[in-house]
Amino acid sequence: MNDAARNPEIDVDGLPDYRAVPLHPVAPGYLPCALLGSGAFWLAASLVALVLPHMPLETDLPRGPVPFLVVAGVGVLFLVRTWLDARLRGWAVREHDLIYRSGVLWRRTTILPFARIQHVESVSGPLERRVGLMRLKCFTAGGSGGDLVILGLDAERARRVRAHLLGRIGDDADGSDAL
Amino acid sequence: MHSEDGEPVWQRLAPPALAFRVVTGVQRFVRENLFLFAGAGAGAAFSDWMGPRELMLVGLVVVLGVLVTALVQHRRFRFRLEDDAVRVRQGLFQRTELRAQFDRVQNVRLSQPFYFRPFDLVRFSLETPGAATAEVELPGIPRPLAETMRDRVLAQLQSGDGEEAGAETDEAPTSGPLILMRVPTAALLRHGMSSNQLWILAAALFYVLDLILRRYETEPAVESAVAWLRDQTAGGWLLPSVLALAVVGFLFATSGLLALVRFRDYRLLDHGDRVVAHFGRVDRQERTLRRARITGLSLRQSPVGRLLDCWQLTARQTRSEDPGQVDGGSTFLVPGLRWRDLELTAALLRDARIPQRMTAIDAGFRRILQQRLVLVWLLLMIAVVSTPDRGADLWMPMGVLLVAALALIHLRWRHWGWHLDGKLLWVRRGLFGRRFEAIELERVQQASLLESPWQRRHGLRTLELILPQGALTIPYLPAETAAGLANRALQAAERLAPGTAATGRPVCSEVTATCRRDRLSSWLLFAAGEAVAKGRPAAAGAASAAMDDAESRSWASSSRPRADQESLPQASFGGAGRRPGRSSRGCCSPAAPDCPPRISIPETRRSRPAGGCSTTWTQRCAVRECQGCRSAAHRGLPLAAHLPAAGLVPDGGRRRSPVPELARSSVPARRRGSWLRAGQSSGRCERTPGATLAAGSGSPWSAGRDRAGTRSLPRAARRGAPGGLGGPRTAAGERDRRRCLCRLDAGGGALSAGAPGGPAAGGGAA
Repeated sequence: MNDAARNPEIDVDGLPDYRAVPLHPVAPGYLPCALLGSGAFWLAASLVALVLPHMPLETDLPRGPVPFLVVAGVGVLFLVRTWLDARLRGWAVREHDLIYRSGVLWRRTTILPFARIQHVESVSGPLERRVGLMRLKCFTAGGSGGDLVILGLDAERARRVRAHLLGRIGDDADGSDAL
Repeated sequence: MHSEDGEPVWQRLAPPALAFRVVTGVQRFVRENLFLFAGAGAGAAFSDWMGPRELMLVGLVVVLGVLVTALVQHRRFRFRLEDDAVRVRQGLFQRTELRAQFDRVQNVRLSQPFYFRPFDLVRFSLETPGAATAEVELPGIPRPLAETMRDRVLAQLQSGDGEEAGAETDEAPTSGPLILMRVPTAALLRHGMSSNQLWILAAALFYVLDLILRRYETEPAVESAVAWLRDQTAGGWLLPSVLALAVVGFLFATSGLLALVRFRDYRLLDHGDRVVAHFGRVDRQERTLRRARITGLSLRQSPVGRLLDCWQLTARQTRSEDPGQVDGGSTFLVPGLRWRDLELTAALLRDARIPQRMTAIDAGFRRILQQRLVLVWLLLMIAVVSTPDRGADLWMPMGVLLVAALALIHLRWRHWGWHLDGKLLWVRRGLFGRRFEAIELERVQQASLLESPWQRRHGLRTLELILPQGALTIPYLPAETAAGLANRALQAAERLAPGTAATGRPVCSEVTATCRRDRLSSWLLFAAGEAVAKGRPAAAGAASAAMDDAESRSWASSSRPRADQESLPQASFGGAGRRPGRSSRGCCSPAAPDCPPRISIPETRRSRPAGGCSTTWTQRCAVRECQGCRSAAHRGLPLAAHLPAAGLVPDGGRRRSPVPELARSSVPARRRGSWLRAGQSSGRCERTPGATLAAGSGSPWSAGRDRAGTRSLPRAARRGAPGGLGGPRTAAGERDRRRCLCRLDAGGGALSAGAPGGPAAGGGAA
């Protein structure tokens, strides 16, 4: 096992590939939370669509179930999208960077090096707290375009990742240009 | 500047600075409230009931208001020059104190408007992006003081830059500044003519003319002039075209003259670690830019500039988030360059030369846009033609429009190109004009890959690199290329493997890049181990503390004695290395005697030969193999077939598929695709069927789940154990990764990816 003498060739393809990293999916509590959130909104919208034509307002909406069905249909589509989104989201922490993937139709994979993270915050809303979820916000220099929000981490893990990130930020920033 | 006891004193601005405040105040007022006067209809309304007297009255009131504000602000303004910063106290109602640290300064600007010249005052401003207030400005301090401050700032910067850019300071010319570029008058005129100013001027001109005509159209002089014009134009085309030419000529000339006035005598000097630009006659400007702060270059040529061969170069820096910066003073612009002058890029950004050829983006960009355009056009045509009247007449113009739009799309696609030149990435784009962006890959802050459904189907991605100066997008790249560029950029940004290219050895740090753990705790353990290996026990202690804390809370019990871990140098981290059975992703059940430890990398690294990362390279290799275990060749096989002879008992009936084979792969392939590639040279992971668990320890990284892997397995296997921090998914794929062997090369012995120590029970050291 002594390869000190060897010098294996490393070609460009030997770069670490972000695609080679399997991603953690979101915590199990994320899906119900997200579904609840968007479900509540669309439920309310469908109720409005149901009730509105019957109210004595000057609207041309047709009576009957059509508006309700339309809104409910769109709502169902959004719920399906939320479900797919929860399945497809993923994150991973490598030694030097953070990988995050999100999106259903338009998918985006973002890789954020630790050396560029200036600050990390963890946030959780009331519903998320119930389920034990947290989100991590990583802020970079140069404006909000470079910020990354990771959704769907369970609280424990989020705290650990944040602690690790804060530690790494300190390390990696030592040798780099403070920007 | 300093009082008797050496403390810096608070100073005030010189009185003539008031004039500056008044002027800028009026400018700002007009700019912010222009919409009131020039908005739709408002202009006409104002000109109706506001005669010249009223206008003058309003103007006077505005000036008085600005004057009073300026007076009060002037009185409140104080500044102080300290050793490493400048402090400013200002504010009318809200007193603010700003502090601009010299080493955060990106630009220094000295400018002298003509009304300051008799008093020899200058306007001094420091730009520090990233701070809440990006610019600190001292409008009206004596020139010697300003120059002293500038020198002090730059001296600070130089000492600060010394560590960053060691080589550059060596080259600092001791013989004085070097003139990089001198822009002659003609070039400045061309710059003015080709810049956007032209359009703004045109708009202003037409607006004013319209206003005048409308206001004064009842006057007899104007009426007769308009009538005369109409007669002339009815006669033929000569006069209107001459008139049009005259107007255009006037616009060009005015625009050129404005640019000339602004940039007169442009000189760019090189002072080693910084670049200084002097320009302007009426308003003399001196701008200093630190070389180390240049994050990229932008070369632009407008469509008119293509005819006149006029480029402008902008040095990109960190974008400031301060919305209050109106002046546009933050851009460092070199105007009026010819194509042959563009070698200047090499002087500003190391080794930056415009590449001869660019790689084009995928033709899918053009195809999809043209397809969609034709579709929309057809729909429009159907709608239009079906209108009862005049429908058929519109065929011709719509057809022409379609052809023109298709041609534009093609042009846009053709002009989009990129080129990777060592550490610089060049991107070219533009429709009628041309635009080059050069960025240093090291400055990348984030790499993002987007895929729309159409792109996904065709294997394309859009790469978006976020830099301090903004985002750079290259659309419709083949997926491999996009990933390759992203990886390259990340490697540069993270400063990985500085020696890789030189020595050909991978860097140890890359190991953990792909060897992930499913439980962060075990990963923390590894990090701690690494910290110890690097001699940072404090960090290691912290990590272990964090981990222990987490472990004690989340892990029920351990059935493995901690003593096993004592032999590890990281013994202080407790026995978290082995947590059998608890986690669904755990590698072993209590029943299995050869439950491999989860962490063995530190162990391996402990035995790392001096100066080598070979074993960790092994593990990196191993990871690839492990993932290759889920290759197409293995899919579809029933899991039982994967169980090794001396293997683990599937715990709780859940399948574990420790696939012992290694894939030979040298390419970071996709998760779904095939990982296998034949015919690799030594040093790659080789396929060793059947061998495996003899080494027992398996891979330390029973890493996380991979969706691609899970999909190939029956659903039951995917459902994980209840409890544990992970989700319901326990990919059998992760178990695949556990048992991997890595044979370094034909000569070397088979190397257990896990540890040299053999199975956990025996070795303990694993």
